[in-house]
Amino acid sequence: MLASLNEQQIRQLETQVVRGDGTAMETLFDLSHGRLSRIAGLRMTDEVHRTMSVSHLLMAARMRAIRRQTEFAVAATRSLFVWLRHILLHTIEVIQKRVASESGCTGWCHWAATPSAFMKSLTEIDREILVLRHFEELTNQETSIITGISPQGVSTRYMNVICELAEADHSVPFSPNSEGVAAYA
Amino acid sequence: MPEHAELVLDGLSTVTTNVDRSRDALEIIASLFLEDHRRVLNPQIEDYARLHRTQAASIRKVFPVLLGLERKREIATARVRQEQFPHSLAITRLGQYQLEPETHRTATTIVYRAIHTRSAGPVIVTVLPWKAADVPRLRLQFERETAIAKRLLHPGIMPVLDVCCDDGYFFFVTPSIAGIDGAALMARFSAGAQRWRCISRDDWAIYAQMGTQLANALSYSHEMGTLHNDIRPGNIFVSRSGSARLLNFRLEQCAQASLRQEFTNNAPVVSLYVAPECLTGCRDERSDVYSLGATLLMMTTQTSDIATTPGRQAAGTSWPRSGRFLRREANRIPRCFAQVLQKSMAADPAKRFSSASEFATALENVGITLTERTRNSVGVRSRVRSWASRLC
Repeated sequence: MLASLNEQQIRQLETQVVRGDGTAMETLFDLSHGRLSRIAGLRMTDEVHRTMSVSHLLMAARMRAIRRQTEFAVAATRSLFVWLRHILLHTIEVIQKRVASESGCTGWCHWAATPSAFMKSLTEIDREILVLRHFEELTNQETSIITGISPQGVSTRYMNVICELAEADHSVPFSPNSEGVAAYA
Repeated sequence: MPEHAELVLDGLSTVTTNVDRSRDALEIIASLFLEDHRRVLNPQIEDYARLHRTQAASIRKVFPVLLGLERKREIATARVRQEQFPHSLAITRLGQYQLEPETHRTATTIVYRAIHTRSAGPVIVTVLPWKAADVPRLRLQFERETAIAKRLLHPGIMPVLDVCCDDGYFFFVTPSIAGIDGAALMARFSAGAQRWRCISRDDWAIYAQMGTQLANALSYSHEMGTLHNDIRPGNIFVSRSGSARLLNFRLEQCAQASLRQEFTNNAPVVSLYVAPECLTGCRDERSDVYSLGATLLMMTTQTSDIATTPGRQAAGTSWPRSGRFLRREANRIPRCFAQVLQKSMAADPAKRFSSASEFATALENVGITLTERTRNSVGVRSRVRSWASRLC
């Protein structure tokens, strides 16, 4: 049912959210559940991961979003999804602070740990754009709201990072192992 | 969700919905490519390069990197999905089907016995245990794979009766036939059972007959332009009467993606059922022939899980070793059968049977030979018995 909501219905629900309607917030959260769970999985640090599952984290974020929904009206963002994402990341941060005092949070999670050589060579903003645009699958518009760079700038920077990656040849994790195949034969 | 834009492609303007001139032209094409890839449409880099000639060089350079990043994202997403695999689904009915307790689970599905409410007939319902809206790509993949199976009508292929989405859950329905899958059969025999229904542990002729049925089914699916891409004991259904059927056809790109995941894992144990050329991304009918040969060999020798037996664990640690391991296992079965299976599993595709139908014919001949041999030995045995009884 949620997937069939059109743009106008979503706008209407957003207006209800601003007025403090908790049910509307729940509906909109459920609408973004798939995208948010993907982001949660990608952004959870290992410490947080050991403490709770993605579903529990989303439940906590959902409660936090309902509790703080009136803040959406005064938030600088005009995209509810970006605001929900902000709430989710804040929830992760709070849990992270609670559980991982000794690990010295780097902000990196398990999946991003391996290609660090190239990722570390990127500037903070380029790295964030790559993560937002590619891994979190945000649009240029949404990335622009988060980073404060124009959508055109996001588009250009995203492609520049990919081109740099291609030139650095850090690319493909799977390449045919010719030695293995030959030995097999 | 890609933001659509007006694309100027080699002088031709493609009009789409929301015009956004602020976007980098290559980024728009890249977004379309990724969207196709995420919808399991298997887009080809060369096709994009041909279509967008002015950007061809950049496409060839950049898109492999996009695919590399995409694989990393897929691995992370699959991990999250596995963590969210529900302990149980709070549903008792899906569409026209009344669910009974679940029978088993796979990596991405829960399988239930069910009753069709109108006909009161028993069926098997396989459910994707996440809300379809939360796993849009997995749902797409399932839809496509079930669509493939639905159009294949052959006695050697498990038919798909219905494909539905209800209460947010995607599921498909197959007939309820008494029997078990090949992996379960192997497990029973390796646990010490001598017989299951009409199949006895060392009855080579019946394995050859099952192989013939499966190879014929495979030949039919190849004629229909469909590769199975994932033949292994778990994807073979054996009925109580001893007939075998193929289950779970996979999309080529999904099979390739799983193979890449296995290969990029720290422990490079790649499934024994995967033909070596698949590592380089080349699949054709002969890859299925290899997988069927390996599956039959493992079933006849009752070799269960290579990772559970220390000797076999070593065999499975790398590709070349697993090939030698398979050839060694073939020594445990009758020579004529082993020769056919070894030919089907030749490392070089050119040395294998050129088609599944050729493999089926070879297996049929083996079946006849082995049946005659069994009949003759039974005849000698019974003659000796009657002679002995006359003496007594």
